[in-house]
This record gives sequence, structure tokens and C-alpha cells, in this order.
Amino acid sequence: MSNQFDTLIEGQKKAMEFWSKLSDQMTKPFQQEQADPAKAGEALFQEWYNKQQAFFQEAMKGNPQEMLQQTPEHLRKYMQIQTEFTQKWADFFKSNAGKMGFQIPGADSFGNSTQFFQENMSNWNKWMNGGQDWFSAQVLDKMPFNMRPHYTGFLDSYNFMSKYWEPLQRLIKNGLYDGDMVNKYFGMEAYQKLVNQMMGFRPVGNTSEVIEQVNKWFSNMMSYMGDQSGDWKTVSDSWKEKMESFSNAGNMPFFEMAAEFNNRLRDQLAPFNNIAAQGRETEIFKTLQDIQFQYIAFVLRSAEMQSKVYESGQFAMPDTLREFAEKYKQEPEMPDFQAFFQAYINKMEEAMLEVLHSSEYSKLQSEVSALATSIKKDNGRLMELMYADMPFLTHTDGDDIAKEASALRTKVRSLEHRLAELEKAMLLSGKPAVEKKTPAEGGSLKKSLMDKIGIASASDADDLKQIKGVGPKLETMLNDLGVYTFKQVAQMGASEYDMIDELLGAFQGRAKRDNWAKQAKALLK
Amino acid sequence: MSTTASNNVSDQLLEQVNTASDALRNINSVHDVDVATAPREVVWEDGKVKLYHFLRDDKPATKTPVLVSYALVNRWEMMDLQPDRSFIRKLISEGLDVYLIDWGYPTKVDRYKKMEDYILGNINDCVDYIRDAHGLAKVNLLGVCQGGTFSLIYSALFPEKIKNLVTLVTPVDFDNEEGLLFKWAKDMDVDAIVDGFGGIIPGDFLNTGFDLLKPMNKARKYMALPQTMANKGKLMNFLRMEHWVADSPAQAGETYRRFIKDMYQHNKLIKGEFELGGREVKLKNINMPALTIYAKHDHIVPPATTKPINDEIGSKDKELMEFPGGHIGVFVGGRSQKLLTPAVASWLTERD
Repeated sequence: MSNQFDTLIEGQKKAMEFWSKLSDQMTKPFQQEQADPAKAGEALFQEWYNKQQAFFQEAMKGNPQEMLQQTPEHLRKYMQIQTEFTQKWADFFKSNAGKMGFQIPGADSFGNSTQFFQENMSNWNKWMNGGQDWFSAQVLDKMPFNMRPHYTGFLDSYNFMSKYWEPLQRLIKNGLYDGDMVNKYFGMEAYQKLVNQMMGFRPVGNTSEVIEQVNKWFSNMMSYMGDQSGDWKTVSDSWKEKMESFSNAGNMPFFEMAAEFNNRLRDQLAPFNNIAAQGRETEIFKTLQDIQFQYIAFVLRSAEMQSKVYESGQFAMPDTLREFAEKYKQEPEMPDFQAFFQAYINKMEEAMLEVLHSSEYSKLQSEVSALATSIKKDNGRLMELMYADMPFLTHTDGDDIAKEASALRTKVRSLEHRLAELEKAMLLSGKPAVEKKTPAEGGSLKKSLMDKIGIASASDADDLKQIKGVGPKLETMLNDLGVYTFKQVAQMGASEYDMIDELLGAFQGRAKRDNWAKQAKALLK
Repeated sequence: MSTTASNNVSDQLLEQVNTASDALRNINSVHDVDVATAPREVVWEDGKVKLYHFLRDDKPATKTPVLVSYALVNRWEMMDLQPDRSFIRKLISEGLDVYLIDWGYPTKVDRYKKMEDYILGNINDCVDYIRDAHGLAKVNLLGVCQGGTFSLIYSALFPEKIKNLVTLVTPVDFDNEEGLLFKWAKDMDVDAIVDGFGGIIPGDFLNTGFDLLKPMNKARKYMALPQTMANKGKLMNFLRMEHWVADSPAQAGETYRRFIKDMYQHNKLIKGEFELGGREVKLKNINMPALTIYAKHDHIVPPATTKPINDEIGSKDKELMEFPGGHIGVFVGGRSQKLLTPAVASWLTERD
């Protein structure tokens, strides 16, 4: 099977090689063409290209397993396309060779062929992108779950970079970084996108917009939950109003001021909550409002934290460009796409680490995580209040049980300790009642047995007593050896039976007599 | 990683296709990522905690077994990640008889599991099991990272049960500004976090912090991914490491709270102010032979946090050893296999 897959891949590689060489050769006659033959050639190429593209799209559709199965058919089709094209090309070349000659190309036809190749390049790119999509889908399925978002982020940033690699090259070559150009491609927005993808930030974009949405959501929630309180809407509205006026006030001072305002508003509202006595509904509203304020504070603080990180790395791109432009001046060799990308990343990290080491960042991070977890806690509390009449085990109930369990553990430990002390005092003059066999002896026999039948633990134990001939005593002995499951027993053969006999000493020959493995296999079904 | 620079677009395309096709072929043949393959058996368990005894073909060269206590953060599988570069397998092949505590995956019911439960409970139970099983008064203890800090505390409280103590990349002086974790932990509002998470800290929360220590590492790693995947061996090792990174157990809240407060924020252990179960823990009470190993380029537990162990303990026979690498390099990597593990084994064998 894998040989066929290899063949397909090899075939594809050869085809690419062939195509890239051929296209280089093809350029020449087209550049030298006058009018009609060039168009005919273009059509020929276009047709051949379209066929190939359709073929590859079709061939790459399925999963690797399906691809493997269809390999012979694919190879046949592929070769057919190539043969057809070669024949047509030969015919075309024969009839037009005279007209082409090897003269210096005219301006018009040069333009045409350039255009033609540009179009075909874009087809190529399309195909490559399609392949990449397929590839990433295949790869993503195989990745550990937690890695997937990072990998998607990586692919996005990789695409982002490869898209701009050409203009970057131009910037390096010209040794300048035209402000407009840098802004256009690597301005704050593009840079933020990149950082978010790499660091897994859930970006806080326009803070006032987010806050407006939050407020809207909470006021809807509150009016949905009960009409008894008219005050909530006004709070929400005044908050929204203030935020709007603040949001035009610039960046960093804005965060500071808005956060302070948020806290003050919350404090001032506290008395209102106490007026309406202590009913459950009041507490629900109060909790909901706490969440609202904490959430807004969280949005503000994380926006501030993120902007610190963004600001740190914003010069990484222009600096990397400058560095490479200077290198290029000395030895004009264009760097590898990845070499450039890597240098950029290193520079960005260096700048970021400087910020991450600062105590402002550390304090902000602490505040953000405390706020986030606090919101989570209040959400839990809200759920508990809302579903208080339902027969669920609440967090508080669970907490009480866990606390009790912990206290019991401590108690057990102290009792065990006392017991051990007492035993020690009693046995001080005597010697141990039982001579222990050390695990080192018999260890290697046990290991060979485990190697053969596999390891299991008490937590996956089957009821071995279901095997005819195995009683409670024998079961305990088997467990002590490390035999717990039917699956293990099913793996046993004559030599394992012998090992069991040797290890157990008792019940000689019983495993063989009752054919345990056969029984275990039946029990597994 | 491509090393040849090409200005020719079709060459670059061709190279991408070549790499991608190799990668494809490899990824197509991956069915399972195998870690922790050294054969072992469970000899003792209590709730989620298990004690493993690693099986061996021959008799061990030493009579005193060694108990490995790994950190609660992340999984012990790091010590047996690749079959060909396994810390555990190497210790075994060097003649040691190895036991290891698997802390399991704490869940909400473990929110009040305390440091007392881990050290006076689990570690003590495991030590007693081994002493009893081998008919010995003392065993060797090898603590790793946070598990090393636990081992120091245990050895200070029960010096009569520990024959030799090895600590690997173990923090003891938490008053340090060099390591970002140490800096951040000082500002951390740990009460808000433990209570906010309902008493159990998700592994992802810790992972986010670890990721930030080298913020662009992921980008770097994934940038090289097509090339990594094009090589089957590299691909498997990459996936093993990713598996380990993602497999991050949650932390019992009370233990986490105490560890952050007493260690990171108040640095109590080295100051002699730490107590456990009502007993004072004095590092000076550690009197058995002790080997302290730190990694020169450790950015998670910097050398400055580890080295003071050697000054603070009361042992006469003590040694400080430098490993030329980083925190993870201690467990996987050629230098660990060639230098570190044999050195640990011979140090223990000499003192058997």
C-alpha cells in the first residue's frame, strides 16, 4: 500500500519538476511570438493546465486512505493528460516553428506572454493554497487537541507573511522602508493580528464597543429576569454614556480613568442593593451586577495589558527590515523567507520579554487573572442561586463534602501513625512474623509475563471469578501478580500458564486444564 | 528548516511540494503517540495516586531502591518520553531499582488535598511501602522540580528513612527576580484564583503561564513544522513532546495556594519558617548524603533558585552538579543520557 502512495508522490514531484522546467523553456518561443500562434499556444497551455488542475483537485479530495486506494487509477489518468498534451504540443510546435524563429521579441507579445504566465502563476498559487487547505485539514486531525488553535494561528500568520514576502523583498532590496509601505503591511493592526495569533490572545478590539455590548447584554438580562427593579436600566445607560465620552480620550489614560470610574460606580451602587432586603432575587440581581462590573474591569485591564505587549514589539518589523537591507547591501543575496521570518520573531520576542519582565505587566496580569477567575466564581454562584430549587449538587454542597473528606484523611493519618507507634513498641524485641520475598526475586519472571499479556491496574479489573476454576482466593493471587483483566488472560498460552504455575505455587495446572484464555476471549465478546 | 535561499519562485514551490509530500506520507502513518513505554507494575495505590515499580530483566546492581518524586505540575512521562532517550530506562540500565509516584489527575473532589496529604500522606506511604517490601530501614529519594521541594521537606522531617537524597532542578530559594514565574507569582492574587476556579486549578491556566516564558516559541516551533514532519523520527518526537505539553493535570487548590504563598511569596522553606502538619521543617535536619543538580540554562527554575540547597542542608557528604542545558534537557536529550543519568547512578551506587 505505502509503495503505491510513494509512487503517486514521486509521480507528482516529477510532474512538478517537469512542469517547472518545461515552463521555463516555453517562455522563450512565446516571447518571440508575433500574434496568432501565441494565442493558440496560450490556449493549449491553458487547456493542459486546467486539466491538470481538475485532476489534482479530484485526486486530493479524499483522505489518505481513499487516495491510496485510487492510486493506480490516478496514475493512469495523469499519464493520459501528459500524453495528450505532449502530442498536441508537438503538432503545434511543428506548424508554428517556422514563424517563431529565435528573434528578439516584440514588445506586444512580450506583454502577452508575461500576462499569460502571471495568470498561470496565480493558478498555481490557487492550487497550492487548495493543497495547503487539504494538508492542514489532514494534519489538524492528527494533532493533540490543545495544539490545534496554535497551529491554525501559525498557518494564518504564515500565509500573512508569505503574502507580503514580495513587498518585503522589495523593501530589503531598495534599502528603504517607505513609511506608507510599512504602515500598509505592518501597521499596528496587522501586527496586533499577528501577535494575537501567536500568543493566543482573545483580542479586545474597540473597548467602548465591547463595553456597550456588555452593558446591553446585561440590561437585557436584567429586564428579562424581572421587572421589579427600574434602577438597573438607568445605571446601565449612564455607564454607557460615560464610556462613550471617555472613549475619545486617548489610550492609556483612558484605561486608568475608565477603570476607576467603574469601581466608583460599583461602590456607589452598593447601598441600593441593601435597601431591597435580602431576598434571593435581590441577591441574583446583585451578583449579576457584580459580574457586569467585573467583566468591564476585565475588558479594560486586559486591553491595557495587551496594548503593553503590542507596543513592545511594534518596531520589530522595521528593525528586521533595516538589518536585512544592510546585509543585502554588503552581499546582495536575498535571504530565505524563513530566515527573515525567524529573525523577525526573535526580535519580537526580545522586545516582548522586556515588557513581560516589568512589574507593571506582572501586576496587570495578576489583576486580569484575578478578575477572570472571580467572574467565573460569581457565575457559579449565580447559577446556584437561580437553580436553588433544583435537585442538583451545588458547588457549595460539594465543597462541604470535600472539606469533610479532607479532615477525615488527616484523622486517618494520625490514627495510622498512632497504630504504627504502638506496633513498634510491641514488636521492639520480636522479629517480623513473615519472611518477605523481595520484589526483586521473581521480578524478572513477572516481567516476562507482563511483557506477554500487557499491564493493567486494579482500577480496570474484571471479575476474574467469572472464569470457571477461578475462585476468590485465586483471583486475589492473580491480582497480586498484576493480572486483573480478561484481556490479559486472553493473551495467555502454554508458556504463560507455566509461568503462572511457577509464580503461584498453588493450583498447579489449573489454568491449562480449564483453558482460561479461551474462556476469557468468550467473556470479552 | 530550509537552509538554501532561492529567489526562483518555482524552485520554492517545488521545495514546498517535496516537503509537503514527505510530511504527508509520515503523518499518514501515525496511529498513536507512544510515551512512557518502560515496563512497570502498580504496586500500591491510594485514590488517584499510584506507586510504580519498573520491571527489569536482571537483578539490580544496588540493594537500595530509588523512589522518584516528580512535580505535581505536568506529568512524570517526561522522564520516559522517548524509548531511546528515557531517563527512567537509563537509570534502570545503569543498575538501579526504580520506583516512581504517579500523582494522577486531581479533580474537584481533591480541592482540599493539602501539602500534608501529599508529603506526610502519599510520599510517606510510598517510602514505607518500599522499606517494608525490601526489608530496609532507608530508601533513596530522587525529587524532580516541585517534587524535589517536596523531597527536601520530607527528608528534613524523616531523615531516618532516607539513605541518599538527589534533587533535580529543584527550587528552594524563591526570592528570585530572574525567573519570570518567580516574579509573576509574587504579584499573583492566589486566593482570588484558587477560589475563583472553585478550588481546582486547570492545567491550561498553568500552561498559559509557561507559554509566556518564551512567547514566540510556538511560532518558532510551528514554523519548522512542515520540515519536522518530513522526517518520521523527528515527527514522532515532536508529537511526543506536544502530547506531554498538552497533558497538563489540574492542581489541587489548597496545595497550590500554600505552595504559592509559602514558597514563592514568603520563601518560608529556606528561612526555616515552614511548617507541615504542626511540625517545623528545618533544612539543617537533612543529614544524609545529598546530590543537588541544576541546569545551567534553566529558564523555569533558574540555577540561583536551586544552588542554595547545597548550602542550607546539614549533610556532610554533599555535592553540587551542573548540567549544561535547560530544564527539559535534563530529561530528554543526548547530554542527559551521556552525562547526567550515569553520574546520578554512580553517585547512588557508591553510596549504596
